[in-house]
Amino acid sequence: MVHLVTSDNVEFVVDKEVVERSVLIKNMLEDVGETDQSIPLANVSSAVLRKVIEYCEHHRGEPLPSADADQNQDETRKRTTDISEWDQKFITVDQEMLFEIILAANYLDIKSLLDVGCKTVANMIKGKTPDEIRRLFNIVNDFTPEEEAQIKKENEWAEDR
Amino acid sequence: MHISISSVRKAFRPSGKQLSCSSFEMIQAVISFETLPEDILYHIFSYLSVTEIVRLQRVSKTLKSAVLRDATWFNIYRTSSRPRIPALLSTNSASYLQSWLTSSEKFDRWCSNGPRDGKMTMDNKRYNSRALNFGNKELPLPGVARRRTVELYPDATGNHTPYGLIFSRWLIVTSICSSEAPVRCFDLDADKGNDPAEEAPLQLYAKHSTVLYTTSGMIFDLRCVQSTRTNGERVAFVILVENFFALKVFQFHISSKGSQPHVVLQDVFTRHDMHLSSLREVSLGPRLIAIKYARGGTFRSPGPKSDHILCLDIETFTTFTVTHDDAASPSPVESMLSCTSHLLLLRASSTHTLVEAYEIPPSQPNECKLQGPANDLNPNTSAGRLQRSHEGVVGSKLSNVVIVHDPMFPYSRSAASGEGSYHDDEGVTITASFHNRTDDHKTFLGLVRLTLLPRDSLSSGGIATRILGSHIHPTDPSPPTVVMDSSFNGSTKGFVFYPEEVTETSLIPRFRVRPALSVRSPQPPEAEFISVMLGEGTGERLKKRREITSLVRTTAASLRYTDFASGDEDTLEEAQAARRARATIRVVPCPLPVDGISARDILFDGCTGRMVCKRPVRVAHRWMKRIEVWDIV
Repeated sequence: MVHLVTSDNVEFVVDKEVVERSVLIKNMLEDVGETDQSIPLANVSSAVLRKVIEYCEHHRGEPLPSADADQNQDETRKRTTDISEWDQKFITVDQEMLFEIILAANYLDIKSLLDVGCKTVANMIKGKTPDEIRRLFNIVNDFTPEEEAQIKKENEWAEDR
Repeated sequence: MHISISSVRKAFRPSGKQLSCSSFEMIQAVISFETLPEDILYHIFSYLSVTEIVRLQRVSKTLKSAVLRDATWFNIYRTSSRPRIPALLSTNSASYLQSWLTSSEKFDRWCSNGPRDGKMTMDNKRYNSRALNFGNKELPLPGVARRRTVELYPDATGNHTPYGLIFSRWLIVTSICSSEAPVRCFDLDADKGNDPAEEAPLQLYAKHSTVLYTTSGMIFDLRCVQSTRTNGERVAFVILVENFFALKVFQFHISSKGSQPHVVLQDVFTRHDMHLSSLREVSLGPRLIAIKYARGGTFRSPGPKSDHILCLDIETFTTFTVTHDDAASPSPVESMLSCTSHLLLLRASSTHTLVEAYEIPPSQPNECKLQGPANDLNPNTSAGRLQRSHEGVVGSKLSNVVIVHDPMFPYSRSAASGEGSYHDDEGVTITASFHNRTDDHKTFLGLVRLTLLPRDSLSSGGIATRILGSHIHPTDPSPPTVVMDSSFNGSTKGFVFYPEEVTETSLIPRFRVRPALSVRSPQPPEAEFISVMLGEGTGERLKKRREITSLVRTTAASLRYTDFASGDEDTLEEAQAARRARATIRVVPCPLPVDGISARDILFDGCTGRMVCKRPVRVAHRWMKRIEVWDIV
């Protein structure tokens, strides 16, 4: 059992097997050996860690992607944005939570969760006009109309769908 | 024991990979899409198409600068599924990668927006449609094609192709039979921003567009070759035959003086050979340039013609001779392939092909580079010999061979396979068209993998061959000759065919794909569309067009469903079923006008969709040759 303490001082007690899905924590445990000390995770809030642990629990026992295979997949395979059904349900959260999960997955080094998060964001962007993207992510358009027209003209080929 | 964050960071990132600082700070602030740390943004980009990423620029200034960052394009390139240039990433090539990725995306979009399955119905809403005049018929064009032209000298009527395209940007032109024989260079990207609808004469790229004046006055042949060095640097050479006696090799350099790129052809090698009669073939690899030329058989040096192979190290410009015993293997060398580790010579007889592999010795970095042009007066002397290390026989006649996978190239070498040794299943993969041993009438198209078996104490090594995928025309017992030089020329997703001279007399045209760019993919791409270079016609022509379309479609379907990557017969059916489920074969008649042009004169870059061709035009009672540059914009 591993003790984790979040930024808002909530302690989580998690199975070692579950938490080792995080490469960060796995390496940490290998380094310090067996310890009853709690591990502080200053960048992760309890709400986010709860979600992350839920994810790790569900994927318990699945083989971790090896660094090598991962590299190859990155380099040459076609990247698909398909997300499994459970993951899709899991990641159906509000936007802030989604970004928090992505950041936590990046910090804790959980590759598969990071993939799920990034794929979700990519799927949100796909097929949307710039205006729709602005509304989606609540982004302020800081271009002057002339500037925007200029960019549009430069990349005209990418505009029409 | 209390573990502090700093010790955590130190202990858990031993590889030196820094946690991005922004992810620490960001946690406090309100997180939004724009403020995600860079590496996460790149991760998201890797799931988006280039079109979508480009479109993101318009959202806000922050996103625009993120999209335009160099690192963005390295990451897109790294994670792109597009077959790629075998090159290591160097820090100064971001703009090149960007233009490469965007133009190939543009071309893909252009192809997939085009008419599907040969139907010429067009949706005018979708793209800027513009009519082009093809003889008597107006043909709408998906996207806008732009033509630029350059006139050749009136006496440049030789059968050679007096031009070459380097890096899909630089057009090298000479007039074969002109007495002045300047070599000129055009920058095809110089007026990128101009109105695409405008038909314009080509602009000379700079004041010094004449990059070379020959000393002997006449140029008889010109070839341009390009490849990638083992360190990932792109390299190109121009080979000239001057006055029948001199074979010259020039290295192509671009230096940027000020804002203008400056093209220099540096003389790196000259061979004087009194018996030199013509240039046959040039093959450039990461290590070696192999030149095959004919000797004898002209009025200047009578006697039987014989082929001679000259190998030139592209680092040191020292020459190698190839020790081949012509008496023992009487079949002539059909093709040469320059790989990273070996030079492959293919000798084809009517029933089989003898493959010989010559080991290229490791380069000696300490060897001093030659100052000035190397000039060897005696063709019989050379710095070294390439020893034959492997040989083997392929039971088919291979022709039109092009490398698609070179396992020894640093980029494609996987970490699993040991340094300098061949992985069991890996080998040089080539595309070739081949004839069956038992039935000469049958033509296959496909991939062949040659594996050089390691030498041990007992055997001298050998070449194992395996045909990974092939196509035979299913209905016609004697299908027409289909020639495919290279299907992976431009790293688009598909194969590009074009007919070799559709004339009234040749009812069955041949298809040809020319290796315009020496781009090799780590794994063969999936053919998602087929582009057929055909003009529009009526009557006989139209009938031929239909035949071509159906033939290409059959070929395409068969190629598409062959699992090149695994090459495993057992899994083939499964893979076929899987691919069939999501495959959409489209035959896209490419409306660039190629009627009346010999395929030999077409240089086509399938990546950017740029075509360069030579067309005879009548100007004031004289026939001129005009070079046309077609761009899809």
